[in-house]
Amino acid sequence: MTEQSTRWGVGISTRNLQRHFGELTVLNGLDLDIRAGESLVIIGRSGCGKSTLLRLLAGLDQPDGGQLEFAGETVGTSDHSVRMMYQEPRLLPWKIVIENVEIGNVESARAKFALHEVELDSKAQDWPASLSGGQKQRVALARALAHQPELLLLDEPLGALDALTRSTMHRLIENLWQEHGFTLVMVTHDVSEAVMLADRVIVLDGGAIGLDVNIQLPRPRVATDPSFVGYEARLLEYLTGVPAEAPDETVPKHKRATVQPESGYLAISN
Amino acid sequence: MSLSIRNRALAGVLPWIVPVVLLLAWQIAAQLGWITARVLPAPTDVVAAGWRLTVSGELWFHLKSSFERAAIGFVIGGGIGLALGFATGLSRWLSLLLDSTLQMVRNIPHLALIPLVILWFGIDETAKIFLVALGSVFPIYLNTYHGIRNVDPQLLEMARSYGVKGFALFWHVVLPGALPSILVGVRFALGFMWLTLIVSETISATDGIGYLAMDAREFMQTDVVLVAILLYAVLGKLADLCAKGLELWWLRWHPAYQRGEGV
Repeated sequence: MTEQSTRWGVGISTRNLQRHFGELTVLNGLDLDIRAGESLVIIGRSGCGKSTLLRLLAGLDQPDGGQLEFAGETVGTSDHSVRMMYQEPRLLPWKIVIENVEIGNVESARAKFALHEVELDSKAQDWPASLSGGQKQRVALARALAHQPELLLLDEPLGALDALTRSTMHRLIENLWQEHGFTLVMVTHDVSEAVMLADRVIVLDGGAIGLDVNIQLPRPRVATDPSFVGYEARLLEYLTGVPAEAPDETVPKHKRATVQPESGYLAISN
Repeated sequence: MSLSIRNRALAGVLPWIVPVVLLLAWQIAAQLGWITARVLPAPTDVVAAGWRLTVSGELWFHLKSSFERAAIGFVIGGGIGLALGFATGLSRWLSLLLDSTLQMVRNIPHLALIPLVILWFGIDETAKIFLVALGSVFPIYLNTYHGIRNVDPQLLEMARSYGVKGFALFWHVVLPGALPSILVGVRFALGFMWLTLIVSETISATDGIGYLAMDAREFMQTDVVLVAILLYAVLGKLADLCAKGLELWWLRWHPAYQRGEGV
């Protein structure tokens, strides 16, 4: 099982990606490059297309136009391991925890190790119904890890959890991501969660990238750190259209029109 | 504390009060001659008749015939219902092809087919088994179809994206997801099974509990008729207990069937 730590994530690029639902244009010519092993968080208002993008990456949905490539190959012809964590744990209630992790022909030693990684060894023989919400999501995470994904997709998996459990999950996901080196793409509407986990945050707006921010903070990150708060304020300001109160002058407070890319905090695409 | 123990004892006794009082009233009324033995013999007489039939072996003979008919008919009918439910539940095309026809046929009370069944099969064993099977098909068909259609689509999506497909998808996801509904169908079907059996055995038979009752009626042995009726009640209850046992075992993952464990 040690070979897991030497695996690398897969790089992804989309060109002019389109997705329409009837009259509604959800993705409108999206160009996005995700580096192998990068942690990318996508935020945006409801209906901005973030979940749609995730489903396209997961292969659960097909684009109406444009290219989607994994490691330079058109998706469908390649065989990259992509796993998704959903908003709901989606555990099979009629299988005990360890059997849930084994789903999709995972050998039992690997499943046990994955369960160990999320610190739920002791629950292996329990029914999912007896777990708490956070434990269920940890089982779902173990299930995804057991497949040694090159790309792990997270669709707001922590939205239903309480703040304390959520922050434990942030640490866990961050550690596992650093250890395994998979590419991580997460959708959320929690700005703080985005800054906590992301190498890069993009804001989707009208089916295209509205804002693209590199988060240059050392890990593990602390939510009370002034520059952390600065990033949060910047993202919130873009999302709400209301200038936020920057609590500290370490992060310069620009208007969007006067962004200075050389400051290193912001890089606006288009 | 002592009050709660007393309450619990009371809760254990309470359900038995009405039946016991009724039985006592019945016994007294029969013994005082308020009700003639031809209308309703005393409970003690019914017990005596039951004992007589048990000792002579007659009871077991009839019980065995009825049980065989019920079991064979139920297995055939239930099997067909299950197969049809799987077919229409799993394939949209088969559902379009078959479901509306099956929904139409199911609205015919199957006992209305008795004259036709007698014309087809005569009055022998085949006719009875056919009727029992017919009575079991639709409850199981409907609930299997409904159960499969209502398997959580999110779980299906998850399983597919984790590489589970074909028979494995059916066995690990679809079937367990549909099982609660299928078992409801089984319990309904068991009820229909006994109902059909009673009717078909009273029409024409030379053995079985229904025959026992009809034969006793000829000789005005009301006590034996009552024994036969009680037997149906006991058998029905036993069948239901078996189905409940299956639910407890197969659905032990389900929070509603877990007792004293979890959370």
